[in-house]
Amino acid sequence: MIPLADWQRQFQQGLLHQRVPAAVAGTATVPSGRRFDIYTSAYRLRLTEALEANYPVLHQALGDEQFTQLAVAYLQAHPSSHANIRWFGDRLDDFVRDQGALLPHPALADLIRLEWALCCAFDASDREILQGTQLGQIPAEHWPALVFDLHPSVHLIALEWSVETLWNAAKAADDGQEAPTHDPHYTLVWRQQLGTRFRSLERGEAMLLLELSQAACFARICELAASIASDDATTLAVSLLQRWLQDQLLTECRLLPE
Amino acid sequence: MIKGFGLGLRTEHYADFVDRKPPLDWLEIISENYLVPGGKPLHFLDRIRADYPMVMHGVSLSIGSVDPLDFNYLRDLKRLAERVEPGWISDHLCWTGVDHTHLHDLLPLPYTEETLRHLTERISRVQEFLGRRILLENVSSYVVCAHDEMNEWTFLSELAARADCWLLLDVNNVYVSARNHGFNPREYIDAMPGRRVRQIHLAGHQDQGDLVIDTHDHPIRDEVFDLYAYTLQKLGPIPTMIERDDHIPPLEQLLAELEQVRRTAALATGQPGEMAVA
Repeated sequence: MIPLADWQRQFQQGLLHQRVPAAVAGTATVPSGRRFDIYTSAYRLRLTEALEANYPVLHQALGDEQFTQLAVAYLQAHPSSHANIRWFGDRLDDFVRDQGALLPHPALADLIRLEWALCCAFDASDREILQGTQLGQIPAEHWPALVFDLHPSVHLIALEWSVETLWNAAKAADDGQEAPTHDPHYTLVWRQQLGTRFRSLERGEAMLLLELSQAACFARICELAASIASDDATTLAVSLLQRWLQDQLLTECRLLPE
Repeated sequence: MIKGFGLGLRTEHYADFVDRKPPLDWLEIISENYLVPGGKPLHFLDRIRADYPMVMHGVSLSIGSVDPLDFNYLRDLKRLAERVEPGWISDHLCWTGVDHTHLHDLLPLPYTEETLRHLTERISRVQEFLGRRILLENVSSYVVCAHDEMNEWTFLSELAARADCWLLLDVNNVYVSARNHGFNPREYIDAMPGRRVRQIHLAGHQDQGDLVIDTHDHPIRDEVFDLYAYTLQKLGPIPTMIERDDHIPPLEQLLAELEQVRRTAALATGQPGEMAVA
């Protein structure tokens, strides 16, 4: 007799540490070790494949062998804590920053951040997109107090390296890509209709978008624009707003409560 | 009402279902693929659901775990069911992790009186929460517990009666486990409580000689077709579908395989298989 809880804990420990639980029965023709190995192998393979699905370009950059080493190390440190395997890999960014030696180039840590943001943008919540015609109906006197909501898929990530080139080359199956250069910048990740997108931002746009994401009103956005482009702050703010509308980054606008 | 023959909905075939709307009685979705906030998965789910009846099949309920039931998961599942309006909701007779770790595998349970009591209580709570009976599926296994007190088919039949749930009989899994543990698969089928078996899964497997692995990456093998025919002779017509999760072929190929399933069913039951008409 083995209590159910003991069976499960022994089995789980066996899977995590590749030890055959004592309560697993073998047969004369197929010993328990061979049988249990089906589970341990499938566990590693399944979770490695799940990580690959979330980090396809990292997989391509590292190659099978190095990616599997990383996946196994990550799996040992962070077994899945989500019921849905779709979220496996959510802590890979932190993990590689603690375990830098696992990556051959520090830029790959940024690639991990980019790919995870793309992953999150892919199935982020749906929202109605704010249209230019809606903005056109807002009286001019209300504009200074307008605040905007960003689409739930929008992520603004600070990167140290130009990993976008790596990503683009991988997607174009271009083996001759240049190594990423050290180039601190912000990258915008979002979903437009059903497709995920990203683009690196000039410092000015990044600052304004960051401010907007923190519910700053349009007057504040214009003030900040003046500190970036003192000659024509309003033109900068309006042109960026138009770009964000075209990119479908905005979902709603409302008046800041007085 | 779900009748006839279906396939598992896979992303590779989204465009086929949206653009061509091939004739098919129903589709089974993997619930977890749509337990996401939004985007492409839910977009295609809604579009395809408009044209096909669906059933929901989960992999994360972990009904046998000694961890507390995950009511966050169940709330999400219930919300998805309100969106999909499925013919039914199924999951697996297994556990998938303990102590809040998720192993993402369908792991075997010891077939004991304690497990029966544990499952009966949890299934009742899940059914009460979802407001409907669920179907539980027999899983393939490669090990057995040295302390089993009964065989799998006795356990399954007893559980269905005690918990008042329905069963999803995976005929390929019966075959795989029979080969791996050396029992007669027909004895298993003979023990199934016919009125509780509401759905059948068929799939392919890999024969490694000493063990048979449930891989869902090949067409259904002849031995499984034979066991399927035997099952229908015993239990009568039951909605049946093909599960394919790896090396996914073009939809036409799966539809042709499903036609073979339909013919097998028609021969076994003496009734023309019900198949949707374009």
